[in-house]
Amino acid sequence: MRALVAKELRSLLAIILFLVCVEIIATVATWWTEFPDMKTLQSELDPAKDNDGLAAVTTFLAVLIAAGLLVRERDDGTLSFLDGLPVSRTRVFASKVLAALTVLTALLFFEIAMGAFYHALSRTSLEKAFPWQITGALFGLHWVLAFTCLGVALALSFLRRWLFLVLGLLAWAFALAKQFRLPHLDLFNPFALTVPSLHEGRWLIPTANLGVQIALGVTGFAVALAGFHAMGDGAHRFARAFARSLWLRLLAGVGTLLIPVVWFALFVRIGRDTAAAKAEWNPAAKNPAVVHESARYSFIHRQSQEREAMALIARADAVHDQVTTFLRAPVLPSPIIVDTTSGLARHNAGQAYWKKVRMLLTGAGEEDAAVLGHETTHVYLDLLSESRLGGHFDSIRFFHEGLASHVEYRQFRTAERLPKFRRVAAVAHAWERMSFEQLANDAELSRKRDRNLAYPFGELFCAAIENAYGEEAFAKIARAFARPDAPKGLTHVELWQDTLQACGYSLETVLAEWFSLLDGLVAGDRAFIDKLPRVKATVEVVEGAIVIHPTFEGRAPGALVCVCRPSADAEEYANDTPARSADGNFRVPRALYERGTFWYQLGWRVKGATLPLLDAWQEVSLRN
Amino acid sequence: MTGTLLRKELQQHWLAFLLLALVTFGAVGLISFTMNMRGVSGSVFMGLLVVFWFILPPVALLLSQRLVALEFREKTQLFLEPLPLPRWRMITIKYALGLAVTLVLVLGALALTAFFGRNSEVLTPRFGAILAARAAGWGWFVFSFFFVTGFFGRYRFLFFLALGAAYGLCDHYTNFRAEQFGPFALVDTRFPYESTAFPVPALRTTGLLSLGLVGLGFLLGLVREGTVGALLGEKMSHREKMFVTAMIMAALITMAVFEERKKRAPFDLPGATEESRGTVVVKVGVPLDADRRRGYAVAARAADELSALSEYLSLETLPPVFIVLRPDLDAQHFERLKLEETSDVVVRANFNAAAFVERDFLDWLVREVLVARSRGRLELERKRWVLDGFAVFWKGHAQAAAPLSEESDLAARARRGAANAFSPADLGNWLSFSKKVGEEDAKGVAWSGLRTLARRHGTEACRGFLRAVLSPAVAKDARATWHDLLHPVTGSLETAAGVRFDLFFAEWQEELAALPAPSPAP
Repeated sequence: MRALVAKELRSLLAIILFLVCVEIIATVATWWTEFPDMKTLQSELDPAKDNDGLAAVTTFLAVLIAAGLLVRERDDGTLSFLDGLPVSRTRVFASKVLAALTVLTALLFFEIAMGAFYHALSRTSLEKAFPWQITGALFGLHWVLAFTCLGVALALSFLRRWLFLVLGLLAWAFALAKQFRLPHLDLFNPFALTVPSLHEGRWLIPTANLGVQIALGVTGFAVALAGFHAMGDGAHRFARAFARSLWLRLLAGVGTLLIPVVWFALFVRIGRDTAAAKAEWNPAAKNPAVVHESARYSFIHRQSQEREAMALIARADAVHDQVTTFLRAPVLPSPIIVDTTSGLARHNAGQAYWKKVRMLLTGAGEEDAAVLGHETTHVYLDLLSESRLGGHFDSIRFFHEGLASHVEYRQFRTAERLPKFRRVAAVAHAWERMSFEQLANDAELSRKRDRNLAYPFGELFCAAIENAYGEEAFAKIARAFARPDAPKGLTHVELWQDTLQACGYSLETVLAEWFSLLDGLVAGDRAFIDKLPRVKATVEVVEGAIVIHPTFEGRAPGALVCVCRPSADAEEYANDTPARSADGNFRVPRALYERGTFWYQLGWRVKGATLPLLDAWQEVSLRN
Repeated sequence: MTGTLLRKELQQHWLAFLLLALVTFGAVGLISFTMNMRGVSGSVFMGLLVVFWFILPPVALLLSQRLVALEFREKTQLFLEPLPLPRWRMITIKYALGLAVTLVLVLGALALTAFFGRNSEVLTPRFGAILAARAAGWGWFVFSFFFVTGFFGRYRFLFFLALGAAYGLCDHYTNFRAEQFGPFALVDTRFPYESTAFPVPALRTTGLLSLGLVGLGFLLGLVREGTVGALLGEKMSHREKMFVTAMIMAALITMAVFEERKKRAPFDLPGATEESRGTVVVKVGVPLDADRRRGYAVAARAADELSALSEYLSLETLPPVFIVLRPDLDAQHFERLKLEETSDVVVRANFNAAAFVERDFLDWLVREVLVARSRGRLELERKRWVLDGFAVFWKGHAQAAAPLSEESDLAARARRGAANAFSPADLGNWLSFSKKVGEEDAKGVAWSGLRTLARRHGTEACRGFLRAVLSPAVAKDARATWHDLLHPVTGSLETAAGVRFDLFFAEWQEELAALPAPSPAP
């Protein structure tokens, strides 16, 4: 057995050498570009950093090793030699798996040992004990990830070069299943294992996920073992006979052709079911899509919404011209497409893309015009920046949404709406001071606070720009993002500092004005803010549900709102906004929240504000 | 003969072609449906774009693998060579068949997507033509690229790596933006939406590039009767694998190092007032409508202060300092904007406020400048007591040899802080000590240490010690860690001030003991 493992390790020598080189390079790069004594484990596991690199490398390596580990013997013709040895195929298989796991374990051990070494250099006297639990969890969970990926990839490795395509499709199928919010789905996600879930200095081990992943890995190894046993001349002869038999080929051809047909039928069926749920959109109910054009837009809408569409079309060109005049943007030679037939992300009234807008028709004239104005601003911002703003989405989202809101509220809504919109920022700022560093880092903002705060705070930022440098500044700033000599790689505050500097503006001047506006708003709204109770909550798991018990002092100023999410970086579609039950609590199914911790956000929906007034996100452990 | 060859290829690869069709069309449905459900994609063609990015390249790789690389690796080209057919026709048939399959997949996927989107897209003939041109251009380029690399046989992955490394270097050192270049511009994020403008320059570049690739493919397939292709198609020997690994290592080293050493544009404050004293530069930015006079005075005094600091600690350079007026801040609250990859000091203060105390601001600024200059290393626990002490010591450094009791407030803080068994270990565990006694009292204790050194061993010895700890220029790499490990603060005391640590600590205790009994902390 030892000789077999040694032989397998020798055959993995190229990969081992590659890994040694990578580790040497990584270590040299760290020592050459960073201070090794300023790298604690906690800082490396900070969710604000990209800390999934080790999981990605582990997965990649496991798949790379698995791709050739078994099938190479057949492809290279060395399987017959192995069969000639006085050892069973099971033993050969075991030695191969052992060799692969040895390489993966060595990689993880080295990576985590270096991390622990840097931590030992960096730790301060405030840390009472070395974080062995975190170090152990980091190693153990990544090892299980490697085990599972190796097992599954080995089972699929008989597909040879098709392996990577199949893995890609599996990933997309998983993403599709996530859209449906299938319960317990996270248990099957191997990457959920290694996402740090730190609570009170400990890593919360996701035991259920761990169990499922180990079971998946074991199943993969079992399938791979069966496949390895079946591999050989017999299987090869069968494959050749299969490929040459006319009837079998016909059967396979028809089957293969049928699969896309089945796909197609399935999608049409699902599409019909969805449409049937919305009778007025049902093409079967003779409600086809219709195209109408104005000078500036091409509208596509359902026939049943003819009246609403025509009402909007009548004023659409005026809306367009107001936007272009404000932005000092050249008018597009071709019409902007406005699609009112498609779905939108939750809570959105419209979405904008390159020369295209998606929005819902409400039939309310002012509302539809305002949404169109808002989305048209987005379209022109992208045109002015030659679509470069999209490349800095995380750093500029507040500006994009802020300017669109600025145009929307200044040009298309009545004057009394703007204070209600800005109140959202005033309350948030009073509850917890907003920093520009946070606003210009959308991922960070979303992790800690209501993501929609980008709208009112961004609008105020644009108002500050206008106060400092005038309306013409917006087009100048958007164009500055597309200037040929714009340095690459800048993000967040640095990006804004550099871009405004290129326009001859000072970010600090804008920020001074922005804070002055914010402080003025807070002072003006002090009475309203003081009356608004901040909501606390206790959380418990009861009979398959997570129950949030909200508490607050004083009178409720409106409806209590609760938003829940499974992790700090969850996509917006994974958020839940449960209705408040009769006992005053909020409930969400435990099956949708499989991580060790759970996030919730509480606040008020009041008449005097256009958006819910949500407090910061809170993370609680789901372990008792 | 051409028909026979074509039949041979179809007979050999029909199952693969069907499977590729299944995968591609399946992926189109799956991805489009997923993206549509999420509601974030503005067009059904966004799903198609994802297929073009992630599915088409491996599909083209598999196609070229089967049509070219496999033929050479299995040496089945030897059976083709005796046929009464010129070699170029064989290659043309393989290329044309592969390209036709690719285009069928690409355009079929486009047609399928257009069918899905018939109720949500304005599908004008022009839009359709633009989409088809972009899709076909991309398909042509991708297949041509992998067709050529098929001739590289065992070296194709090395070729991919070399391209990746070249891209990495271009990305780092030039303003080259791949997403705006030829074939990549065809499938940029505008692909699903651009319904009026044909991307003519991108199509032209793609066409030329694809033709060049085809030419290179034919060259490799035809030169020396195809022996180059046959040689490249052989399996790698162990030695070659090692060589490739070494090449990968070199590429990775290059990319990793260059990636980490990015430069950014220097910070500046447009319209700011500048004061300079030698190498010290201080700029003050004031909003347009604010009173600028106080700003001028603050800039001048900050420049004087930093110039004096520079001389006292023999600092060759100090980072430029930018002071910004922020009327929203409390007069006693100062902020520093931390910028990555630069030690420039950008601070914010409300210096026009009536309650603004300039001396407090300057003391804070001195500390921040030293921290920025050391790239944060002076805040490490092992040096922290010296930094904390110096931030308080600095304003009275001219009277450093005076008795501690002359500064009654600081002396009281020092005595209070040291009241609970202050020991040498507390200097190493300074953060815990600060937490235990409170930051202000800890600073008082640190201040008393520096004053003790000046009183007992002279101001020059104290200055030498402070220079040794606070002045070294720091490169952002492990040398700084190494330097600190080799030169602990206690060692610097002995080498720079000529004082043994145990003696110094005993003197420190004596000075503290001589102070009047403390009053309780406020």
